[in-house]
Amino acid sequence: MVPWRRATRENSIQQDGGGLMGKRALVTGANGFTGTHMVEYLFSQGWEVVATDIRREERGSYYCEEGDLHPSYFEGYSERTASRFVTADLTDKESLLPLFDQHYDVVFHVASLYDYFAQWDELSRVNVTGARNLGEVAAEAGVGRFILWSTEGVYGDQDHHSIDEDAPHNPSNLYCKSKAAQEEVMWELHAEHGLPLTVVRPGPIYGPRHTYGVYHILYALEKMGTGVVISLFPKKYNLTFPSVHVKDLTRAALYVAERDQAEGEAYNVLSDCIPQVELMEFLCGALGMERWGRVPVWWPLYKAGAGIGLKYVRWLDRRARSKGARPKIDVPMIEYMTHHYEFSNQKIKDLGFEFIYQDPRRGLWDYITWCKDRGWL
Amino acid sequence: MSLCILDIPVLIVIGFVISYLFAKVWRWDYPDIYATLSTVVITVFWLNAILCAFDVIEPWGVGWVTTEVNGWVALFIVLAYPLWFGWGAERARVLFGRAPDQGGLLWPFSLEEKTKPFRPAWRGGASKE
Repeated sequence: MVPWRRATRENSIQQDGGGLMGKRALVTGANGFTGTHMVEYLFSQGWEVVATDIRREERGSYYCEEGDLHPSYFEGYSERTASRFVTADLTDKESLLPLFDQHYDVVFHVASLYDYFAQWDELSRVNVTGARNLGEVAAEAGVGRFILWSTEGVYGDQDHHSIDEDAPHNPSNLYCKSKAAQEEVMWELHAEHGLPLTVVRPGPIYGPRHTYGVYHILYALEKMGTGVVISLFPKKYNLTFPSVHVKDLTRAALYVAERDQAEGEAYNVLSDCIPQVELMEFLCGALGMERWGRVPVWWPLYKAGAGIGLKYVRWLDRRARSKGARPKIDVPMIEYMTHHYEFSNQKIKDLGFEFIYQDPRRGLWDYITWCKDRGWL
Repeated sequence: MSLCILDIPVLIVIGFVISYLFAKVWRWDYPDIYATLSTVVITVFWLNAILCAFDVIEPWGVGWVTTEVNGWVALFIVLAYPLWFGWGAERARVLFGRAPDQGGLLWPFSLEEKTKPFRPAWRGGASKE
């Protein structure tokens, strides 16, 4: 029996056109990019949504928000579609208690400090301690299901293998380390306190309102104005790039939330990985770049060049920090583009989930069009 | 036929500079200026080459870098002037960008943002803001 169905039946919930009404979800990080989409999707599916986030002024110290160009906090979306919006801070456990004065069929823990420039103390406080606070309160309140947003980044570089959910964690940067630590904490709560946990591990997310991560690849390409598509040889070394459209991600999150067998499981949620060289060719075309070309590079030479490039970007990062600024592209983003990340989405497909954007190029085309209409690209 | 071998590097440099100025300063306000200037420059260099070929004037750099070449080879070199000009221009676009909102391949390697914001696609192209 799906927990929320049990709960709604107990509360003698109305039926509406065959669908169950009165399903209630809590969405954290509801004013962020993914959070707004999660709230909107749940609303469209007839869920009663309680949305929560911190105040914009509290968020400012963490996030790289650059006014209209790179917003990361979207006021108004959740307020319009959620039945209730409550301000709460994950790092303050007391502030979470009022959220749980009612039963939730599902808690979608989307909130996270997703900033590659952030330092460990901040990342740990929000992503690890904050998640633990929420998990403890949720377990005590007896929520039907707890969906944790993790990341594919917890696996790290796995040396040219396609990675499934059982692969060991080997995170390569502070953000991904904080997410790996977050998962450990939540699995402990699952084992020791019976938190009905399901973990979704999305690839880099993109979609309308997205401004950090995949966007920076597009932004950098557009800013450079010339595309250099590196084709590695021998071909077996060609890198792949994972990604997921936010629409698929929110659908997948609800899909696993509604399935009993998904409890206690983790799922990679991403479109089929395509070779980086194909992706870059597609992006150059989709962005309407006037000039781009494919450059064949021998793998050892590429590794050496990427190593030097990374060293330079790290130096730029240190220089930026010493000046109180931040580099145009964060170091981990360069690492992602110079390492092999290939993940399997077979497990969630085996569960019966179907992606709208199985080929990421379709989703990216929609997203690029959306950005171009707004002058973001 | 006498040709100044420096014509080619000078064309590359002029192409580079005009292309840079066009991309950074003129592109949105004066969309035709690159075509105009490049036509003028190539015309001047061609005219110079023709006048030299008919011994009306002496090639510049006489006694230093002027070179005597076979007529057909000279014709080939002179006809290739626009390509050298274009090659220099493209190097500037690759390094510094093609429009005021671009920074070229050097863009990620600096901390300061000097490029202008993108314009929405429906206002794009060469029209004024």
